[in-house]
Amino acid sequence: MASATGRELSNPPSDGISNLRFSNHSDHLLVSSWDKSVRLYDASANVLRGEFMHSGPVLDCCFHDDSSGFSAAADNTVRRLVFSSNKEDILGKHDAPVRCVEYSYAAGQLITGSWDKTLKCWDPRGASGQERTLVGTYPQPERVYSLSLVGHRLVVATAGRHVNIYDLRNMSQPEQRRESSLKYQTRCVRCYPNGTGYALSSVEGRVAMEFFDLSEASQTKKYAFKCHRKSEAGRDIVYPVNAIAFHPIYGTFATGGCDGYVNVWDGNNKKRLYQYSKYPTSVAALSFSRDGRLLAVASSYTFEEGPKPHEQDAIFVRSVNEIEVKPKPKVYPPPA
Amino acid sequence: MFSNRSSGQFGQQETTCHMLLKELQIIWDELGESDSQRDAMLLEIEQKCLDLYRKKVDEAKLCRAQIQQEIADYLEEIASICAAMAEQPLHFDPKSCGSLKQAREVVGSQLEEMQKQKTERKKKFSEVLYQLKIISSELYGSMVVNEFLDENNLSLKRLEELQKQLLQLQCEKTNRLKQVSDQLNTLNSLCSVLGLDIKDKIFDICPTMVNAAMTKDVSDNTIKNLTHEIQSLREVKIHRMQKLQSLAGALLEMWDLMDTPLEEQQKFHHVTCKTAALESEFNESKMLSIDSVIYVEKEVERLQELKSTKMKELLLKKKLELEEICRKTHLTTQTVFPSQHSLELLDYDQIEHLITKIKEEALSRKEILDKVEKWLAACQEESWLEEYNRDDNRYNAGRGAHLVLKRAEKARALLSKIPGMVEAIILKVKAWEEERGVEFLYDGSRLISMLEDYSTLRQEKESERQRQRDQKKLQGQLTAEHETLFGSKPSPSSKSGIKASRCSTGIPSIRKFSVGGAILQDPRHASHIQQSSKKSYNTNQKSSILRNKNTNHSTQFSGHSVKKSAYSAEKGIEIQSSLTRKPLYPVSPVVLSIANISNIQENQRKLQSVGTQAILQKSQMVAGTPPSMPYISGDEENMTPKNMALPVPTTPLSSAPMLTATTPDSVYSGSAAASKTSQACEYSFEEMRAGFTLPKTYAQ
Repeated sequence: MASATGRELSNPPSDGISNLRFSNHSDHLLVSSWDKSVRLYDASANVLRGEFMHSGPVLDCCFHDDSSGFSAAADNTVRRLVFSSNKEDILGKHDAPVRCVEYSYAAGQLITGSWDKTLKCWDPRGASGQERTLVGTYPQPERVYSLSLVGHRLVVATAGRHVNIYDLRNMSQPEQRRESSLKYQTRCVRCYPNGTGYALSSVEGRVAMEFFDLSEASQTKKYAFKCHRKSEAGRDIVYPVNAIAFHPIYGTFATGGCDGYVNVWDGNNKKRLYQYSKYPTSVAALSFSRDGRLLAVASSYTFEEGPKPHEQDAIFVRSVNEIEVKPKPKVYPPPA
Repeated sequence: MFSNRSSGQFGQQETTCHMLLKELQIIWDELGESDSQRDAMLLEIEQKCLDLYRKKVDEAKLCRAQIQQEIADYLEEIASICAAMAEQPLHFDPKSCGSLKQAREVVGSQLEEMQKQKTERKKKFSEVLYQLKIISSELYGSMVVNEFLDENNLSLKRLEELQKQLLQLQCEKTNRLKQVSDQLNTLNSLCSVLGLDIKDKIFDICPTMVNAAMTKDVSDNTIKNLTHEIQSLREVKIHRMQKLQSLAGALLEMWDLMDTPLEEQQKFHHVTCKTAALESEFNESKMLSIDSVIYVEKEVERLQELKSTKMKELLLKKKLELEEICRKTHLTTQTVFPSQHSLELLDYDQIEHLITKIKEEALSRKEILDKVEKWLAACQEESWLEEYNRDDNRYNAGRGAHLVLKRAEKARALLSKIPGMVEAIILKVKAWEEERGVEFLYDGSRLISMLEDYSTLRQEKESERQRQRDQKKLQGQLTAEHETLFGSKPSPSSKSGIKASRCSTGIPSIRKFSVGGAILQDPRHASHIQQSSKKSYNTNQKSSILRNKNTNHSTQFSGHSVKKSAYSAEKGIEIQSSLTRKPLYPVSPVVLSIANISNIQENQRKLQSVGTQAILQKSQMVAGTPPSMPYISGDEENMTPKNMALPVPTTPLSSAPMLTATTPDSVYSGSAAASKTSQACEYSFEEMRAGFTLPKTYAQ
């Protein structure tokens, strides 16, 4: 099993894994869970480095730098976690559970999205009181389900299939307001590492590849494709696509679905590069390490069918073979 | 002829013969042989001796002839060898040596000598020939020089000739070695510039040359191949160089155009500094490798994309400018250029041209527009006055009441001028229209008809007022009659009973204008007037005007009754569409206009399809709520676009094409509208797990 699915981390969370992320500086892995904890692992050493307990399920987490991180919890709080001292402080609160959190290195701000239909930007350095920490609150058309950042661009996916695209330097209004090109509820949105667009997945086994540039040339490049489906007796069983993770070097991306599969795709050539063997239960979250050599996979039931007996939640860290993620080179015409 | 020794022997023999004869005569005497017998026997002996001598002489003669023959043979042989070696044959006189046998000896040894010489010469020849053969095969491949050892021509001259030939070939070989090494150097530099592996190239041409330590192949074929390869590589190089130079030119052009920062340029300076370089100047390693060319090409593509987006931004800016001018001059874009659609297709120059054209147009319209502005201001005052006149408490003394009174006074004065103003405008407009041959349009509608409408309305109002006055008079008479009959009654002014709640000293709020005077019942006028009093408007209201106009146009266009007034329509949008701006929720004008158009479409669709909404809603309940996994999909999403991808069996561990299908564009028909209605039931897995439900304050 170890070779097929990667190394399983010991001391996994005791309840559903809401997200996991690799650090930008090391092979440390931050994991948030419904068991109200945020855990810090050293993925290469397979050691649990720290644990933070919250008063409610943690729905998302992210790194600030290698020594601190942030969490978004269902108790409406946004917290800052300091790993070295194992201390945490509350940056602020939303009016409803905070669904997602992203730290922008470009803006030096923390962005949180909540089910209270707002987006909030925080300045994590402003430790002097909550008034100074909160930079702004930006109403959204619906409950925020997923966020993604690239450079100064922020893509916000909400319920009701809205997609708002912001420039972090001017948050007063969205740069673009869009409707998801998929018919069903948005599950995850992730920006391309090259900053030209974003991938958006829905609960109905489909991923849309979109571009920021509104020119016709760019917009003709957009497309959507089906994935995480099972054909049985001529009928498709469709699974939600929970996670998208872009490879930091090659720009290819992995998707994880409730079918327990992780697929690697080459978006430019519209090819599937690889399919990893099936994980015990739904793939809830994915993250490539900073150099793209490791892939963390959260195999954790995402409650798509409500409460039911399910497999143990587990985190697998697998080493990534170059052939699995490298785009097949295009054949260049020889200079004649 | 006889040796001394033999002559001695002969003498001895002679004595022996005499003794033997004497002995024989003695014996014969004893025997008493007869003389005849004795004579016969002596004769016989003598005969026998003679025979023997003769025989010996013959033998000796034969021997002599043989030796002579041998000598002649030897001499002949020597002569032939000498001839072959092109040497003067030694003159030889057999007599000089005394006996023939001696001569034979001498000749024999001479021959031996000559043969030895010949062998040596032959060895030399074969050595030279061997080398010749080797070199020529090295130089010309399998084509061997047809030189072979000619036994009959072993002259020194010939040898020299061959040696000269050999030298020549050796010389050629060194030349060729130099040439090959030159070519290899060229090849090496070419390969390094082009980023190719020289070993591969050389291996293709001549496998032996890969190892530098080995002797180099210098055959014709190799040189030909090398030359050919160099030629082709040079062509590639020139081709790439030209490409790179054209790319560099493009880069420079675009840097210039876009003021690309120096740091970004720095990365490509090695390319751009060679824009005008000769082929020979491209000698840096990997300078022209495919990767490097592609790298630059990518950069050019990226910049081009950037340029196109910038151009687009510029275009957009210009378009906005154009629209701004249009708005200022109350020209609609539709009047300036026949269709909105074409505006999107215009390029920069055309827009620029249009802007100048419109500016000219605006200049010609200015005079009239100023007047219209005045008129509209007057209209506003008129409506204010109307409202004011209806305020029963208008004469209540309070703070600022004198100002209001003054304003009313001014308004009345202004009111009297309105008909004149209208007349003047109509005249001007008519003159303008006659001059131009086109209608004077104000925000898309003909100004003249607006003015005429206004006049009609005003007349109507005037007559209404007249009627009211008459009625009042009549009423007054009746009251008077009544009074005479039944005594006094409360004044009609207080008959309404309810006191107007608003304070008379306050200026009627602007929003009320829209419901105010009879003239302003026409929403079109209302919006005009609202626009004309810009200073009191915040952006919010401005945009609402914009929207108003849009709805007006569309409602008129779609044939919906105008009775369904712009306001109710607008309210409808606000409720039904989340895209619409909420109060105090800033919206960029571009987004707004786009949103509005789609809103209106949506709105209309809604109005038309109230009946079908229930069905849509039902279907959306399925679509909106996350399908409880596993969800059986009928693949309905792929039914709208042409589904082209064949489903590929998911074979793991191999690259497979994606199942792409162009999903419909964001303009959604019924479902978008319906999704709003069913939003309340849409929850994500996490929300359901957390038991999160939308509180009333969040629900719409």
